[in-house]
Amino acid sequence: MHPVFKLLEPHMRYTLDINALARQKLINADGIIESSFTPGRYCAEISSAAYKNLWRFDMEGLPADLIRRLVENEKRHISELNESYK
Amino acid sequence: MIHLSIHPCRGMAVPDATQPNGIKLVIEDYPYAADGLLVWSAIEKWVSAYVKHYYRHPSQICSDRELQAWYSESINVGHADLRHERWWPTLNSSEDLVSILTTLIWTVSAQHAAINFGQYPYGGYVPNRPPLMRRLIPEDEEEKNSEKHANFLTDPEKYFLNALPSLLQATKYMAIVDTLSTHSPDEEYLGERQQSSIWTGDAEIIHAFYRFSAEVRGIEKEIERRNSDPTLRNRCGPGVLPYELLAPTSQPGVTCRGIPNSVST
Repeated sequence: MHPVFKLLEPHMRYTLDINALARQKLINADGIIESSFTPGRYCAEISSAAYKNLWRFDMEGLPADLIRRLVENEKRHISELNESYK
Repeated sequence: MIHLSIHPCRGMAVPDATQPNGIKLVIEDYPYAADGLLVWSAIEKWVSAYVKHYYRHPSQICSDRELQAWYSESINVGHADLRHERWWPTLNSSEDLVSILTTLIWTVSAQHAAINFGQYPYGGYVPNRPPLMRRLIPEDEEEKNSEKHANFLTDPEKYFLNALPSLLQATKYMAIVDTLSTHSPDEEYLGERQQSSIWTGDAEIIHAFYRFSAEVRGIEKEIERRNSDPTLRNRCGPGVLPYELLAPTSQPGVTCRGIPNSVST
């Protein structure tokens, strides 16, 4: 068995199963999340469009994620400030 | 010209090479980040020991066809829609491999736990965190003179209560987040694994894994200490819940704590 397989094995237990299941039943259009957690139609589509543009593998680690949130917040904050000084 | 440091509390972290993880938290008492960095470091140390043991030279990573095929499939097939993005990490050195594996393990264990297992404890009482609202707050010029707007101004609390999910919506939501927030009795937590003394024949790796387990147990103690430190006002004090979402172990059920090794609910 490949050593990387052995390292990751405990972390893969049910992970791909639940991902597959969630795509079919939980986060799909008209699925459990859209019908119970949101006002309804198009909400899952809007979330997936937003997340698709946000997700980057190289930003998923905690240190990179925390820095990225700072950068995003500061950018937004500067544009807010610029707006309020107009 | 506005200087960035005028509003430091807006952000979460800044790069700082003198800190253990290469970053400095802007808000030090930010429980998810503060506890998360301990867990991240422990995973990274363990993965690093593991990778260095099996790959003594960078050329071994480049020439491991099985490894390269797996990574390439993850990008080109698993993420076919994003395969041409320029930000995918390269896989040419042990540092690359450590970073990729640490990110995978972090995501399915600690990050998932922090997001998932508090859903019922924090949101199961629906008025505390409504998943949806059935009324808009009236704000249009047109609506300003409407009956709706008058009702909103006369009794905002009643307007809010009417906007909450219906009983059926709320009940379904509670049932779902209760299920999602539940640890099963056979859950396996970070720092544990089946056949912990014989899963590999490599004594050095068995010992490295035990060091990882010991560090994870130490993090649990540190989290307990932080939750009883009255100077940490975001996690300790009157009316403040202790932050235990990244405390590694848990009993079965809805506990608002515990980092399972994998995503299973």
